[in-house]
Amino acid sequence: MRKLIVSNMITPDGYYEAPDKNVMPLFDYRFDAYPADGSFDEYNAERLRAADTLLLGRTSYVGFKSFWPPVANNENAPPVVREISRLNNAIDKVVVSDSLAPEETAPWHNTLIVSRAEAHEQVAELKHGQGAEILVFGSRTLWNDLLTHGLVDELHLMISPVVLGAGTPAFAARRDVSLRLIGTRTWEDSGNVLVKYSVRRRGT
Amino acid sequence: MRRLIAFELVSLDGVAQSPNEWAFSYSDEEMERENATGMEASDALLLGRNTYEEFASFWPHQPGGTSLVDYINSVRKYVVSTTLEEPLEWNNSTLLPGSFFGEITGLKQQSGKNITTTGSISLVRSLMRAGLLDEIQLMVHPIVLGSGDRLFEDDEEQKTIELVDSKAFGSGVISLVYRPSTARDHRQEVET
Repeated sequence: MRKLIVSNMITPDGYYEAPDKNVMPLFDYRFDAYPADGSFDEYNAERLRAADTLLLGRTSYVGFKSFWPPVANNENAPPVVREISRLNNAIDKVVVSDSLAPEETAPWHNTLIVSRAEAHEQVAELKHGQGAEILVFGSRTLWNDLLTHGLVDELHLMISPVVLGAGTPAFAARRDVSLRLIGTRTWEDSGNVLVKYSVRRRGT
Repeated sequence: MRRLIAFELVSLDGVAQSPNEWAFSYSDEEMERENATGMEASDALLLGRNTYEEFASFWPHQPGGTSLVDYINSVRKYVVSTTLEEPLEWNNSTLLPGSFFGEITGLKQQSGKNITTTGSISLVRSLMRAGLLDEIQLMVHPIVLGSGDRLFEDDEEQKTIELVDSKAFGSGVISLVYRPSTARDHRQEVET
């Protein structure tokens, strides 16, 4: 049985992204209070090393694919960022989408496209198989749905020290799940707090 | 110089509305000790009208003898409202007029312990905008509410806040203490 772990950045006021679906303001802390803060990349690399499947919704898949592939060879990028690129390129990817065509996965050919109707069954099957962790980054619509259907084992939220006041809430609606706090982490010279919960549906 | 601290119960998705409906089941001895620490460091409570009315209809009717009940009923309370009138019914409560920023600045310049505000969402928003809030302690509960008023509700206020402290409790609640004023102070300097 493999664990499905959702790892996301949120704000103290519960937002996933700023208005206009812009995620960059969550990282504004790098420009003022915490210029040396590498905790986000560091933790993402840690999660990727522990995983052998990256499960994504279409929006995040397309966004990541347009950014990550060449970074591994960018000599100006920090070592941990180049490592994230290598790990992202190498890992098996599963994307839930009804509209993405196989030829659109280039250069990430190690991608399995799963239709939305089959998503729950396929994810449950993946979890029952052998292997390391199944990791979800970004992909808010997908993980909200998986959470409701009892398919998420752990929720790792990095709380950014940026208050947005408006944007897309990380959680789309009230979630009838039981969250047990299993760990927190902070870093030197960082305003981020990582909180990890194990998830159970109520009554199970 | 006294510090003005907000102590707020919020859900994991940032909702601060009506914690009396969802927060009590997480309260335990460890959390009560945290409350007591905050109370010992504070000798005044600043409240908005809604929170004042909610508290004033509840706390005076609780049996005394516990530190929280005795503290909250006896402590000096300042209430911000344009509709309430003196005399306020709850013990040791004083009304601050609608133009309250000057009054609060005056209170902060007195000697004494911290001034704490809790609940009072719209008051806390105005205090933050005015740069009068020194610290905000968010008690983040492991619950997802999905809707309700949030503490920060204005994208003009988008900014980095400084993490001062974080702590986890056995109940699954985490305490995040932030200092909200740095960016604001800087902006004011630029404007003047």
